[in-house]
Amino acid sequence: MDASLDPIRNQMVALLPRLRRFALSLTANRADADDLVQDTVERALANLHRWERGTKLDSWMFRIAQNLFIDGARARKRARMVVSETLEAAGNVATDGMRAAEAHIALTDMCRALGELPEEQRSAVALVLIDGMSYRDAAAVLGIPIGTLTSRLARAREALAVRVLGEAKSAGA
Amino acid sequence: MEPSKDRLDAFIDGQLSVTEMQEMESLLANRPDLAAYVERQSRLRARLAEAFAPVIDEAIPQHLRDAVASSPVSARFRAAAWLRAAACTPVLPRLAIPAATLACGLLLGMWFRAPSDFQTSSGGQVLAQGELAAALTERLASAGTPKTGARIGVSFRDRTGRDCRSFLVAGRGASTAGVACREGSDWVVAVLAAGPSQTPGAYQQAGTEMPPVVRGAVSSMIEGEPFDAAAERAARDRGWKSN
Repeated sequence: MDASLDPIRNQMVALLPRLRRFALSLTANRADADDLVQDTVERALANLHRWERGTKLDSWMFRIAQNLFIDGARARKRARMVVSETLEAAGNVATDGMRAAEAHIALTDMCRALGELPEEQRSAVALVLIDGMSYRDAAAVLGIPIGTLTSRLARAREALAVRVLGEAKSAGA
Repeated sequence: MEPSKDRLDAFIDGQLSVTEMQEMESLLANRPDLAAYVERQSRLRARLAEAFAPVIDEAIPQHLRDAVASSPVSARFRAAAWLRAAACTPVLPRLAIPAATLACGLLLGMWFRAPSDFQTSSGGQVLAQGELAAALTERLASAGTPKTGARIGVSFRDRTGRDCRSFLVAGRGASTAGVACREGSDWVVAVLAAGPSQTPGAYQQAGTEMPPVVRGAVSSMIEGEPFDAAAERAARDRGWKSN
């Protein structure tokens, strides 16, 4: 319809892979992840006037996704619904071959490990360790000081390393 | 110097400056205990990245592409984009009413003004209504500035033969200015723009405080000279029917 929007829509399409990965690392569930991405896109376009031109579109959209995820998590808590721990990670990944199967298992395991972290730590891990954002950008997405971000990360690292890599050999520590 | 845990983590996350990274590397060469921590955490990062990497290469589900392509966009954003494109400059082409000015003025004006003075016709035109329409029909600029309600600026015949009047309506703290032209018994709003912000007690002649968009529109629309007091009265008395 409006040609002036095309560059923004194109930027959003280009962001979708990262947004899907971010959403999956938050929700640890395929279906929820894509629902979250869809809600994020709709919310972003409906509130586009709130996005400050010249600032990073990705940070802004990640922030929307994060807020929607937290809101959803709060709603689930309020309703005292039991969140199913089953991981629906099966999908396009594990279709053929050992490699694909291994990749699928690795992702499923990682989702499960992430899912055991408190949500605030999970967000920090998703942004910095998985998406590779700088501390500054990640803190901006979460709306917290950098010091808070790094202390959440520090706690998450310990817990995650034990789950994913096993106990540390008590060599130096 | 014993590095803090935070600093080791920042090293792992690549958040230190190049010099700091180099310093940390040489420190780690002599500290196997710290190096073991760094190695373990780097391995964790790598495992996380690897596990999630395939998601990046997956085909994007069509419904997500559709969401980007066709979800409704904030009206305020579209309007602002339009305003930027039009730049709200009163540099008008010679022909009739420039669409850019019209759009620019309309959108801006609508935000500043409660809708009670305007309505949209079934044909998509914006019409003056209520007090504003009454003022356009009855009020004479030559009668002086009214204490309340719409103020009339200039009245003139436009190039398509309609009688048109510029006006200014004050809202709370903000005002809206524009040009309306008589079509049948309607006042069709041709241009609408944000007027000067209200400074109580600082009444000026309506014509001089019209925003540039409105003044520019008038000068591009007008045929001949603006009505003088006698012509204004005569036009009113015949109901703004320009024969």
